[in-house]
Formats: sequence, C-alpha cells, structure tokens
Amino acid sequence: MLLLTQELGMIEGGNGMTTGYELDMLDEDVPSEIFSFRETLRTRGKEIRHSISLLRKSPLFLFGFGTISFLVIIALLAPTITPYGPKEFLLDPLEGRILKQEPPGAIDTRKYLLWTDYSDLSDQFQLDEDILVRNWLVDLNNDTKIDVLLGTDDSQLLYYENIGEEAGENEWVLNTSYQFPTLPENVTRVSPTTGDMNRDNVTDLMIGGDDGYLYRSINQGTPNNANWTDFSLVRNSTGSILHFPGQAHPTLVNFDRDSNNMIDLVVGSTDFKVYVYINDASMMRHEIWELELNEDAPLDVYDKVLPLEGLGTGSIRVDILHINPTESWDMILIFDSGHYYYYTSIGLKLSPNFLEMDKDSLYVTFSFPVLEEVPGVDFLWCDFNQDNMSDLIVFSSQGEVTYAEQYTEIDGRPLIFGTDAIGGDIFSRCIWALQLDLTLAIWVVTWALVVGTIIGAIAGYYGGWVDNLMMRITDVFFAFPGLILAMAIAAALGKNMFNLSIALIVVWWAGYARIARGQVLSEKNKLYVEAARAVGLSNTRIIFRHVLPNSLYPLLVAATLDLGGVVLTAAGLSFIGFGANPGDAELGRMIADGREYFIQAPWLVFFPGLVIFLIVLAFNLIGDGLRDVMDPKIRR
Amino acid sequence: MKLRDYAIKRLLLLIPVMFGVSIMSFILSNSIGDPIASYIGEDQDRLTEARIQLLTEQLGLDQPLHIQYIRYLQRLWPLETPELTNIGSWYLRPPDLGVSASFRPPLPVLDVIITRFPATAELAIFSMIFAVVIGIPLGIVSATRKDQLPDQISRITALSGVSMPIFWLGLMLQVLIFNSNMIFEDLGLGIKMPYHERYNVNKFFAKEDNILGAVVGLLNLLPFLDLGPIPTTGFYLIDNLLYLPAGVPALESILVSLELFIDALIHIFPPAFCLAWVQMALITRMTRMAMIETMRQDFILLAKSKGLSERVIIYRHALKNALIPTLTIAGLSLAGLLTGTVLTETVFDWPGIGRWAVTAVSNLDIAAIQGFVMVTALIYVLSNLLVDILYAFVDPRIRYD
Repeated sequence: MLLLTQELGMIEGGNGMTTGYELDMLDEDVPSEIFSFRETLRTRGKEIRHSISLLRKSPLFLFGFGTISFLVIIALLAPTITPYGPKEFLLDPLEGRILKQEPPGAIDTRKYLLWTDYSDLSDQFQLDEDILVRNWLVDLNNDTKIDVLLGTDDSQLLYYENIGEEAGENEWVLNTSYQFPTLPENVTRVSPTTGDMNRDNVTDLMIGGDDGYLYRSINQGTPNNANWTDFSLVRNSTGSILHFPGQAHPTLVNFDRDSNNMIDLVVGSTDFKVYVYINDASMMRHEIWELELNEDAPLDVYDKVLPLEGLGTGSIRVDILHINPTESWDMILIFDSGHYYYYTSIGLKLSPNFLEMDKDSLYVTFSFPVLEEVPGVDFLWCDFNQDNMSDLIVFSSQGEVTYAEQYTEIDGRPLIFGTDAIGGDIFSRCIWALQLDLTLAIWVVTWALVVGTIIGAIAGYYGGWVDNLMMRITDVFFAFPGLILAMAIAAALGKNMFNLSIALIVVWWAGYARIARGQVLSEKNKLYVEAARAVGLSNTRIIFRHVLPNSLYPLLVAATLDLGGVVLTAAGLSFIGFGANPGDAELGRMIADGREYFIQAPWLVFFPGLVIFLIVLAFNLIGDGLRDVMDPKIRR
Repeated sequence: MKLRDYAIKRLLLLIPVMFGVSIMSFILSNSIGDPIASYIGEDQDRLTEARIQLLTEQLGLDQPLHIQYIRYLQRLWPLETPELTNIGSWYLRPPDLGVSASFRPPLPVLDVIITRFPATAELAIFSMIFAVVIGIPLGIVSATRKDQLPDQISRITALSGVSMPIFWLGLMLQVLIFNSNMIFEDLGLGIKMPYHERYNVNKFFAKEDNILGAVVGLLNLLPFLDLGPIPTTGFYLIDNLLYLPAGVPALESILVSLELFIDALIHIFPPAFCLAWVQMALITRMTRMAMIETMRQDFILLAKSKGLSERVIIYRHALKNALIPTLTIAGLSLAGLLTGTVLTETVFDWPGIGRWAVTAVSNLDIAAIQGFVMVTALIYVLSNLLVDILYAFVDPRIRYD
C-alpha cells in the first residue's frame, strides 16, 4: 500500500508496502487486471488454498507469522506474565476513594521484602507497647555505622548505638551512659532530628515538642566526647519564636533548597501542613508549603503548593531522602493514620524541581510493605546493608520493630529490562504497552476499514456525482500530510489514547475508500450483479450482500498490512506528545519519557523501541509474503 | 488524452481540493481551541480584559464563523485590487498567513516557513540522495539473485528499514555516536563535534561574510542596480561553503569555510542516515519488484538468445526500464519528506518546518497550523502532480484517460 502510506504522509516512518502493480494506480482507479489472475483459477476456495500453500513455502512470511503470534500471545497473557500489572491503589485512607491507579509496571509491594532472618528487631529495641516513638537515624559517634535516636512519649531521648562489627551488620544496643542535655520541662513527646546547624562538622540536635515549639542544642565537643548546650528555642529570621499548633515533627534536611550550603528545615505539623524553612546564613527564612496559596505568604521561586488537600487530617511526619534509583530527592509524608505518601521530584535535577508533581499526576511507584494500619507507625530509611538501595525499619506503636530490605529481584526474577526513571519495571511496562498498542491498531484499522469500505462502495456503485463528491473528499484527506492531520485532530479532541485512535481513523479511512471503490467498479459490471438487478434486488442489498463480499479480499489484505503502520504512527504521535500521557505504559510514550536520560540510561529507550520494531517487522513480513502471493507478476 | 490536457485537468482538479483543505484546516484549527489562548503564556499577567477585547477585534473573532472564513480566504488571496475597474492599480502581494504566536516575539507565518523550509529541504534532499545511491544497487542485486542469500539479506535490511520507528533509530544513533566518540576521545582520536554558535546561520552570516553577499555587494555598487540585502540561502551546507570570514586572507578563508562545511556535513549525517534508511528500504523494494518484472519480459529473452552477457542485459536493457517506477517512488517520497520530517526533526532538534509544526500544534498556535497545513498541502499536491507528469515524460507508453 505504498501510495496509501505515501499520500498519508506516513512515509517518514511509514510502512511502505510497495507493490509493482500499484504504480499503475497513479490515477485513482485500481485497474481490474491486477486481480485478473483470479480468472485463471476456478473457484475462490481453490485460489485461497493455493495462496496458502504458496505462503507455507515462504520463510519470511512464516517468520513474521510466528513473531506476531508470539507477540499476541504475550499480550493476551500479560496479567499472568507480569506481576506488576495495573492494579487499583487506594490512595485515600479516609474515604476509600481511588485517587489514582497504579501505572503498569509499577513495582508492587514485593519491592521491599521483609527479611525473615532479621525482620524482628523488637528484641533489640525492647520498647514499651503503649509508648509512641519518633525515630531518627544518625551516625552520632562518627564510626560510619548508623545509630538510632528515639524520642518517646514519656520525655526520653534514647540513643541506640550500632555495635555491629562491619558496616553492613547492624546490631543496636541502648547506650544508657550517653548524656543528652536536659529536656525542656513541658515537653513529654519528643520528636528528634539531627544535623550540623552551625557548620562545625559535629552533629547538632533539634527536637520538636508537643507544646508546639522547636528546641535545639549544639554539640560543642567532638562526636566521641559530646558537650551539648542547653536546649534553646528555635527562632526565625525576624527573631520571633517558631510555634506550631500542636506537636511539631522537625526534619533537618541536607537537600539545601537554596544552595547556600546551609542545612534547611522541614516541619510536619498537626494542622496537616508542611512548613519549610530556608536556612539563610544561620537565620531561618520562612516558607510554607500549604494547602491554599496564601496571599500573605512570600511568593518566591520555591513557593510550591503541596497537594495535600483531602488526603487526611492531623499530624504529618516528613522524611526526605534518596529512595529512587535516580539522584533526585524524594519526600515521604507519614500521616497519623499510618498511611504514607511518596513524592518524587522528576528528573536528575535537584531542588528547583522538587515536588513538581501535582495531585493528578501523583502516583505511587514505590509501594512499601503492607503493614497493619496502626496509628503511630514510624519509618526509618537507610541503606543498612550497603547495596545502594534504601532499606527500611518500621516502628509501630505496639513496640514492634520490623526490618525490610529493598530488593531488585522478585520471585527470583531479575528486572531484565531495567527500571525507568521512577522505578517502574520496563519489562512489564513493555508487555502492557504491547497489549495497548496492538489493541489500538486493530481498533483503528477495523473502524477505518468499515467506514472506508462503505463510503468507497457507495461511491463506486452509484457513480456520477456521488462518486465525484466522495472522491474529492478523499482527495482532500490525501492532500494533508497525515501525521500533521492526526496531530491536529488529536490536539483538538484532547490528548489521550482514545482521541488518538479517533484521529488515526479519520486519517486512515480514505485509503480503504479508494481501494473499495476500485474493487466495486470492477465488480459491478459482472454478470452476477446484472442478474441480481434483474431479479429486482434493492441497491443496498446488492452492494452489501453481493458486491462487497466479492471485493473484500484485497481490502482485508490491505488492512492486515496497515496494522504495522498504525502501530508505528500511533507510537510516533505519542512520542511527540499527542496521545498517551506522561507515565502511561505506551511504547512511544515510554520512549519519550526515557528521552531525558537516554544517554546515561539507553535501556529506557531501547526496549520499548525494540518492541515496536518487532511488531511492525512482523506485520511487514506477513505483508511481503502476502503480496508475493497476491501479485501475479512476480508470482512464483 | 494528451499530456498537456491531462496536466491541465489535474491542475483544475487541484482547485476544489485546495478549497477543501482550506475549509478543513480552518475548521480544525478553530476547533483546537480559543485563538486567544495562544497569546497567553509568558505574559499571562498582562493579558487583561481590555487586551483580550482588542485581540478579539484585531483577529476578527467577534464575527460569525463563515465571515471569518471568508476573511481568511481574502487574506490568502495574493491579488490586491484597490480600484476594481482600474487594472493598472492591481498588484500582487504575498498571501497573509497570519502571525505565529509560538515564537516570542510572534513572527509572520510566511517568514517562518521561508526561513525554516530550507533546513527541511536540505535534510530531505540529502537523505534522498543517500537512499537512491544505496537503494538501487541493492535492489538490483536482490532481483538478480532472487531467493538467494543476497536477496534475503537485502530484503531483511529493507524490511527493517520500514519497520524501524524513526525516532527510536535516531535516539539509538545518538547513543552510539556519543559512546563511540567517548571511546575515541579516550584513545585520543576523538572527532570534535563543535555544534556551537558559528553554526547558527542568523548570527554569523551577515551579508559581507558570504561569497554571495560579497558578489551582491559588488553588484550593488553599480549605480543602476540595487539587489538589496542578501542573503543566506538557509541551506546550511551551502551557507557554510560560501562563508567568507571578514579580514582573513583568501586561502585561509577557504580553509575555514571548508572546515565549516565538513562540520555541517557531520551534523547532517545522522538525521539524514535515519531518513535515508527508510527511503532506501522503499527504493530497494521498488527496484527489486520492477527488475523482477522486467527480467521476465520478452525483450530480455531476446537479448539472452542473442547471446548478450548478463551484465549488459541487466544494466543496458533491464535497468533502464526498471528504473522508471523507482524514480517515481523516489520523487513521491521526496515530496512526502519536504512537507516536514516531523519525528526526525524532533529527535535531532533540526530547525525545520516539521518541528515547528509540532510546537505550533502543542501551543494551539492557530495561524501557524492553518498556514502550515495550507502550504504543505500545496507543496505536496503540486509535487505529486509533477511526479505524475514526469512519469509520463520518461515513459511515453503511459496512456491517460
């Protein structure tokens, strides 16, 4: 169908089904001698049998047929092959609303494995059941092993020292001899965090109290010989004391949003807000991420609105860390209800892009071990076993402490195609995308065939002005560069897969209309049509019951050949942003999503493209074989 | 029917087609969205009620749709008739295609097409030359060794060409070039790929810096001639070759322009290769098909029975006949490429019309879409017609009815 693809302007990436005879087709009529070889065969059945026997001898056709059967089977079996398929994910703990479906390929709960040998740390920590703890990880004694700092509900700061022999071996023991500064009197519930606030390379301490104040203490000694100052209230740049409506959960983060080498502060508060303080040379400049854009809040470049609306109420704990495979920062919000939210910044860039995602595009690609929903769950992330992946310790209010390890191999199955920028498994995404693209191709070609055939048949059968009008309309469609037309229609309807398919149908039908018209023209003067007319059948009946069935064969062949072209065009349109939305599992879209990092991570682009290539190649091989058999001039 | 009559008939048939195209592009671009929306953007704050009102009046958006369409056609019509009865007052002007708002500041659509089309054309022509030079011999080998190993190999090559998503091929090629260049650089053999400002035509090809410009400048010295400012052709290869740095000795300036030419050549190669592979696939298949068909003709049998060598039969007798459809296909492909190689230009950031079209559609830049569609449809339809006529010209056996 060279002319078809040609005139659709798909030539750039189109499937150029070239046949010798179509060159005679420069005028729009299909010459009837093309299929004249039929007359040499007695019956249609015999002809088809003959064609099939010829096809059986063509290795390329067989290869194409095998490939496409394989791909179709894979697409149909997708739910059994890949464990990370689309599944509903309840994001809203309060109303049970499905806010977002997990995208295909999202690595599910098994991403974190509870490490059975080592999972129960309750013995090591020996916490009281009715006491909530707030934890913090720090290498307090500077021995390159992670220690745990726990703040409890009964005015205590507990220091668990890591006495494991090597870096990957963790064994925590309560160090009772360690002297912390005296806690402020009116604080019963302690939420600790540490960081080097005065830049003397010794870790300092900050706590949030249930009275809504933040206190800090500076270590004036060395890591091994601590000398803490008394707790003093934390003030902001104007000198006023920071105060929150209830328990404050401070997190000193080293992600340094304003890039001044000073550690910054993020506070999760009981009024369901996240406050961010920029450390402006030892003063705290105020900046709020809150639900509504506050007119009074300083609007600077960092002002981002956290989409927390409707997600819950109560207090928030914030963790900011590297948890995804890229270098971007992630943020985890832990709510009172025990649910957690995972935000990731898109891309390798640091602070300015942080939390660029809005609520609509928020999805959870990292799922954590499903725990019983208990209030007071607290998380601890760190690369405990030093394999460059964040592992996890979970504290529950029942005094249970569990350890989970991040894992890249699930059920002994490695992630053979790698993971994408947000941690999805490319292999399973490819399979789901294959299913989507094949479905799309069949859908588009079917509708284009139905519409085109009906219009072409009517034009061919009635002739005269009907024919002229309809053929001029198809001319208009052929005069457009097809890719641009499809692009414009997709943009006009709105960018999603369904509208893309509509656009492709609009572009594609005209080709079938021409073929159908040519076929009907060559059939309508045959004797059986005369006979049908003589019997007095209605035109509709003649067209649909007699003429069309007899001219369907070349149309079906053309449609088969076009399936590959549709896949290619749909992928191309999705690639330039018309069709699938970012993050969707569609082959072209996956390539577009991976394009940002394709130099560093070529597999993001390679595997989806390979799948497209295989689909289209298989269809083209089938087409080549069919054409060799169909075309009398080069028939063996 | 004679060729001339056929050409006239086809030309006349273009009129309703172009009307249809204009109606469709008008409806499409109007259904895409609010034309005012494309003016929002960076100056969102400044788009006040008053300004919206002003824009609406300026663009004629307060009129009903059919009036808008008629006005649109009036703007397209290149003949201005200030006094209808006085033919002397009539004059031609370039059609007004509106202003493309996806640029800041907005640029006239026609200017954009004129400045960007050479880049696309250069890429298209360059890749087509590639495709023809490689594709035709491959097709011949494939046809003469039908069903043997060379045939299978060339068929697979051709098939993979048409099956390859071109944007994927482009990206993979970039990875390959990047990595191999890194390796070569480690070995101290790296090709420097200076994609820097001097490659930017607008910045460096002021008129005195260009051989054409120098010639024009000299001619402009003549009192009776004024050719005005010239010119860069917009074709990077040509512009780089003609580059004439000011204040540099002649020999050295030739070396500089040669270096620039090679630089431009290196940069056009990867995108052209991607496009060429697809085109090559089409040409190979076409040549193969036509050759197989021709080799079964009686006159080949006659030549064989005369005892001519196979070489002579293939190249003197068969190829001449088989090339006719191949060249037609090449012409049609070129026409397709000229209307914008959207994906390739996107992947390689090529400043052609295809990439502009993508930007225009995503920015809902209505004037740009209308203008682009009208112009490309015209190019496309005309070049198709040209190919058809050319076809008849090289093959007088064709009959028209």
